[in-house]
Amino acid sequence: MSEARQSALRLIDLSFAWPGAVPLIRIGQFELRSGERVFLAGPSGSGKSTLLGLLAGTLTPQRGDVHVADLCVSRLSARARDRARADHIGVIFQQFNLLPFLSVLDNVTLACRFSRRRTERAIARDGDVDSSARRLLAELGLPEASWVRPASSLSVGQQQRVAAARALIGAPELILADEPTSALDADARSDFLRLLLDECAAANTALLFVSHDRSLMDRFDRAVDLRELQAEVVA
Amino acid sequence: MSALLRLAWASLANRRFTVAVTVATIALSVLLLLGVERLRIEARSSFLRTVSGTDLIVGARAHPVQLLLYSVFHLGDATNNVGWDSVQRLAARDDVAWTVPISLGDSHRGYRVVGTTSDYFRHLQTADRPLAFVQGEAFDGLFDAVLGADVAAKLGYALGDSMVLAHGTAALNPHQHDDRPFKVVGILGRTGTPMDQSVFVSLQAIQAIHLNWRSGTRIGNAPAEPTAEQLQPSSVTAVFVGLRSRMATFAVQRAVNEDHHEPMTAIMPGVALQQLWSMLGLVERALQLTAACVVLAGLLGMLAALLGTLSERRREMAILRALGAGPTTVFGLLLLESVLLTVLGLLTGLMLLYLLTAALMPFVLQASGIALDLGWPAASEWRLMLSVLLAGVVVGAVPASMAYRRSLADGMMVKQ
Repeated sequence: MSEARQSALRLIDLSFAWPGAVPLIRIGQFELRSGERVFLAGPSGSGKSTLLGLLAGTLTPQRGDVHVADLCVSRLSARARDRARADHIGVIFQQFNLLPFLSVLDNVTLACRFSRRRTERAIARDGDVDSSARRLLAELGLPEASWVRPASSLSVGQQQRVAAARALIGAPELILADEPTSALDADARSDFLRLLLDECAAANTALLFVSHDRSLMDRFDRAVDLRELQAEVVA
Repeated sequence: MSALLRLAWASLANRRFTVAVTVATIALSVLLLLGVERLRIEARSSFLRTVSGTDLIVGARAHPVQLLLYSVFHLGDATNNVGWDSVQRLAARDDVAWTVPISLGDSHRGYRVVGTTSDYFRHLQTADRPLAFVQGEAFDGLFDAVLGADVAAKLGYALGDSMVLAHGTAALNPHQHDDRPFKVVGILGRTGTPMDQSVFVSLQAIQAIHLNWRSGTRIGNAPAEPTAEQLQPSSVTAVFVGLRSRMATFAVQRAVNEDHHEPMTAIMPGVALQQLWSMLGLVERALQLTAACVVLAGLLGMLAALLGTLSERRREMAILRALGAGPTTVFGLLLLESVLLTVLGLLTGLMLLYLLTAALMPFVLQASGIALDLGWPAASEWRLMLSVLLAGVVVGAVPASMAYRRSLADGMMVKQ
């Protein structure tokens, strides 16, 4: 039990196939410890999106279990999986992370609107949800003038930082990042990655960073190749 | 819920142009629906109050609606008259408070002439208000005439003007009573009833101008000084009757209908008006149906607008899903948008209705005598608005369930 508490993500004997297809995901054992930052490499078509769907609980495996924090997500009802995602997981997409019609601040605090747990944790950390969002935005280097502007007025690089702030607010146990730097130029990529890794470390949030850009992998605690993960089972 | 409301509102505000057009479409259709309903209510109540303060109308044996048509609306002619002795017997009854006989058959430039007594102006009411003179007073002399509001306005008569009645009711009439000119002594206020298109003279005057007539043709000139006996009518077209007590209505009605001396019919004007109105009900329903179809078109416009944005909002739904929103939340969000649009449309439509009513009030009163009021919506109007809202929810469920199914399939991933 204490071991489960210390891991942010644990996959056991996971198998998933789309209807009528051969299994796309077959993972024997995989774990992210609490606060661990892991680079997951995988070319397109290797099942990254499907894996992320399984981890986030929008897909359920045919076999095996997904544990997030101390919850066995894959055994929960659909409603409880949505709730677990809201409470324990932050997600950063490749791009188009934000609702264009909300302000930057509202986009960040939106994460707390779906989760009482993260609201309480943000309040415990910074006094209230808004202050928490402001602190994260400031730490991620977004100029204060931009906070009240509509999210759509920001550059792509800035939008990704807002997305990072939203994933971090309320300190969830796990952040799933799906190629969050692929739309950024080299300088912005490096800055973004540094800020994201620092914030995850500061909040003791585990990070699963999925990318095919292997030049970034040195900056993580650990790098894993999705194909190797899958091969373990096959072998 | 409030988070969802804020999201829906922000999303709508972001598409304010499309939203404004959609709301305007719904508002106009709601305006039409409520406008038709309000006109229907007003027209009905004004129609049903065409004659008020009168307990019975008595005429020769006829169908109640026919009697109503010729005695009140001056449409068509009576096939028979009521003898003067019957009028007197009726007036002598203990339970009868007053009788006002009328004699129809002549006209003035297309307007009906009503021969009656000056009691007409005292006892008859329309819309529960007594008749009022805007100028002058009731007739007193033999050849005095009182004009309804339209007659005075359209023909441009003023007090003291003289006018000539025509024999019969055709608009272009070669037979004129031009040997007996009348003098205008009074002009009535507008009532919105056929009274506005009537010329009132005394029963004796009707007798006087017909003294030298036989079978629709004038013979010589009228006698200069007719005797009282000559001026006594032997029959009238109909009699308006007021009773001392409403309780006696059925007893008097039965007595009249079963009178041995003469075949007569007594009608309660309210009941006969109701019968007549229900004959016109088809028009009413056609109008309501048309308005309902327009509302449906308005809501389908909303459906088109929402469906059009659904694809481009797939990403928005995926973001919400990633933040932990279930597909039910996505459904609720879309449904809430439809409800917001419908409610905005309803409120705007209602506001337009009141603005329009306030603006048109004086004109409608002048043109038709219908006094529009700015009160709270009637029960039937609340029901209509509720139906529109429910229809909005049903229509809104279509894009909402599409978004539900899509977001269930997409999860948080959208193929780009």
